[in-house]
Amino acid sequence: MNSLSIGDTRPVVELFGVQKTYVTDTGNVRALDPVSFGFEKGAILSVVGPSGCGKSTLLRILAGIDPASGGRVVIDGRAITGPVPDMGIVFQRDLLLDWRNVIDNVMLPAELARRNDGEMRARAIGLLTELGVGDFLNRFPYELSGGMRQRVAIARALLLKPSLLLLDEPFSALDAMTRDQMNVILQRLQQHEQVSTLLITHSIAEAVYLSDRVVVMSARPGRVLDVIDIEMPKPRPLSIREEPEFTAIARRIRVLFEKEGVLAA
Amino acid sequence: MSAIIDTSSGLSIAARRRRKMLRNAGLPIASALVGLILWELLVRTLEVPTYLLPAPTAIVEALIARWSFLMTNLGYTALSAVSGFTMALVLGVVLGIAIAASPLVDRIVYPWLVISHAVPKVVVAPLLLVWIGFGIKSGIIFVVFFTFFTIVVNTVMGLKSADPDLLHLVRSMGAGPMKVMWKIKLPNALPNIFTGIKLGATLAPVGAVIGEFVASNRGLGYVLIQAVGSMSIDLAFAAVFLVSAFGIAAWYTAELIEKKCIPWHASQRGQH
Ligand SMILES: Nc1ncnc2c1ncn2[C@@H]1O[C@H](COP(=O)(O)OP(=O)(O)O)[C@@H](O)[C@H]1O
Ligand SMILES: [Mg+2]
Repeated sequence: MNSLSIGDTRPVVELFGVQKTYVTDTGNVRALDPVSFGFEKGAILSVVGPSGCGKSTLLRILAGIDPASGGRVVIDGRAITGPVPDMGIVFQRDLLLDWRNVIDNVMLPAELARRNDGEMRARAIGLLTELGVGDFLNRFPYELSGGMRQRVAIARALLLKPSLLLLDEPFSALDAMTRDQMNVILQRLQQHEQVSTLLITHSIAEAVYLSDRVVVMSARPGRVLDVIDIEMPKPRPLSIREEPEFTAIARRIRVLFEKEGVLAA
Repeated sequence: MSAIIDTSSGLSIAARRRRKMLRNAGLPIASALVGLILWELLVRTLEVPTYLLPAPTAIVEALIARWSFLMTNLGYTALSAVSGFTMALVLGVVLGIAIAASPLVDRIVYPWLVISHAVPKVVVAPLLLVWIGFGIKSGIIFVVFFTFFTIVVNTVMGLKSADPDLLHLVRSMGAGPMKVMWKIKLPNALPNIFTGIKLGATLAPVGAVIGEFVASNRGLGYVLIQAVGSMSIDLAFAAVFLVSAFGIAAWYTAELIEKKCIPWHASQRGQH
């Protein structure tokens, strides 16, 4: 396993043999075989893998939503057991509150943390502006496009300066063009905010473009096929996707999936 | 909002909404008018006696002749309908919250809810006289009984329909059960609660009238019984008309409030 360090060398997230078996009425579902990896403060780590391989399960364990069936998750040196408030989460569905306008949606975490003050509001507006939706503060979610809604969800997740940002296929429901746009925006914002980010995706290109490290997972039950560090300097232009270094890494991941029979022709 | 122009038609949204409302209201009104005219023609050509079925014009005549008498009694019926419904609304939403918040309450209360709904209320109505006595109190309690169920059921349905991922998300933001209820589940349940309100608001005047059948010497229910007893069928129809009109008004009032309260809900944004 490659263990080159990125940014701050202090590991922010470490997984040790994390596994999950869902117990259901119709039997046990082995979703995740023991998985171990870690990443450093301020880095973006992507998990790529075929649908149903346990990526969301992994994220739910990290978020403290679901308990792991075995193994240990250590965040900032502490083993987690329940929901950690110091975390921003974005799901594939934006999960905005239909009855709140954009700014009030973004302010929700501040309200819940009793930090609903002018300073927070200014930060919310700053984030929305940086995400390109600063002109829509008083609009309601139903008045926005899917891409804009997802930007609002990202602003909400970042409001309280979380130590960890968890993204579960945040752009999967968007069209290809919007998705490229969101990749560029996310990269810029993540660098600016210096937030450690775990991105779950099933797009190889997205993973390679955005990440400092890519964890490649097998089909269900998911296990780690490879961990690849990506050294290309950031910020990266979209055109980097045509560079030989980029395509070589993308090919390496694709070959792994092909060997697994996931992408067999 | 009225400043937003749809360039395809050049009409402001407000103007288009007005036009649409006209189109939406036009057909039902025309249909009702045609029905009334047919009724009038039928009664006249077949010479149906008034004590069997009065023509719409005869009902209007009775309405005008006994206007202040009918209005006084409508006021009485409206009072018990509105106060009973308000109580049912408050109790129903509170109980709905308790049921949605606690599986224990759910399991204890649920069978009673089903029983109270399954009991034929009209049959039980005479017991009101025995239990509560003559007067408006009976009417109000009957209205509560009559409208409570639909409000509880719709409230519970709404509270339980919050997206599980959204609940996880806000819990991960540190929201406790109270915050989750107040900031997420309750607003999320508003569309369902309004469905309960609209159904309950139309049931309320019916409940009030049934209560007056058995335990009142005032109100449109009492007028109705008396009018039928003395073969003043035109007066009876006038009373029925007023009860129905009141129910319809209650429905549209609730719908108006709904539009103001939940403009964000899909049901309020046209294009069904
Ligand atoms: N709550 C659950 N109960 C039972 N099985 C589940 C549950 N959640 C997920 N699974 C199963 O676990 C596997 C992994 O799911 P998931 O983590 O959502 O995959 P991914 O996000 O990679 O598509 C799937 O086969 C799925 O059906
Ligand atoms: Mg998933």
